[in-house]
Amino acid sequence: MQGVPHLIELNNKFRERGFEIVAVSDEDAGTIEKFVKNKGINYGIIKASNVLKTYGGTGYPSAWVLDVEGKVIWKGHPAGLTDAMVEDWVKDLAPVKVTKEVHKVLKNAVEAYNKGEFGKAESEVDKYLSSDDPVVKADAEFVDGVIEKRRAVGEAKAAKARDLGDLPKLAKLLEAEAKAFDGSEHGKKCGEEAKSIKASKEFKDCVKAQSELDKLKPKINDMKAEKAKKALEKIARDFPNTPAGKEAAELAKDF
Amino acid sequence: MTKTWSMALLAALAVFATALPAIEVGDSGPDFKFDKSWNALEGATKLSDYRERVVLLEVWATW
Repeated sequence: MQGVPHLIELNNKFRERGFEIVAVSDEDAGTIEKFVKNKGINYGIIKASNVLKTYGGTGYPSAWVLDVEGKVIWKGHPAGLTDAMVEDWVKDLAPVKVTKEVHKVLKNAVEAYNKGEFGKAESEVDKYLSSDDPVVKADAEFVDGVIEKRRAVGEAKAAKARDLGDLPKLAKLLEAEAKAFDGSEHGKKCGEEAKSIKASKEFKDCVKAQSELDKLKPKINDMKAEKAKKALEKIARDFPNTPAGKEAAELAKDF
Repeated sequence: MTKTWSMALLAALAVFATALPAIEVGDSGPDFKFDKSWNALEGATKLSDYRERVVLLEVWATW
């Protein structure tokens, strides 16, 4: 398979940044293993059956690229994949795991990051950001950059929920961030924002609207169309700026 | 005549029944279990264990 060097190169460049290769064969394990060893393959090789059929592929090799939620964002011949395309897909991802070898004083920071304890990782890194040893300093800056990126990803998600007025989702996201960044200034800020959101009238309206819609939904198909429409419109009117209120308005159009 | 038509219809149905629609851009990538793996993500036993990552799924053969 000529594609192997290409995939090894993509793996070397992008794996640390959240790009994973899942190369599937249905041949017998011995044949695959020999091939992996002979070619020095370092990316993920999987033995599994029926994948080509399930995905409706037309021959070997066939490829699909899936985003972080498992949705297909590209399909084609793997030779058509360029660095620029992969760069574009991973640019907003925070590395899930730091696999780069760092100076031993930063091992604790990396370990904390890999466990999802970003606040702890941050306070570990802070100790070495102004180190006199250039190697330590460079590694500290590298890990700090990774944490910064992870924080930006969380903030982008929160901003999206904020724009949509989805306060229950926003509160949940912020609480998760507060926990992950526990021990840092950012974690404290997220925790405080989550708390103040949950205390607001808008948040309570969102929760109320959702619960009314949830109660109505199972009954709606047994109701007379006119009555169903009215009930939905009432939720939309009582809670106009909530996700459930907007959903109710949309549903009302179908009656 | 009718018989010929129904035979043709049956044959056509058989073809449709075996040909699965291809997964296209925008679709959800179906999950599948791994029988065995080399160099894969730690602890992953199925495709859906790769959430939070961008995945290149390649179906290949050694020959």
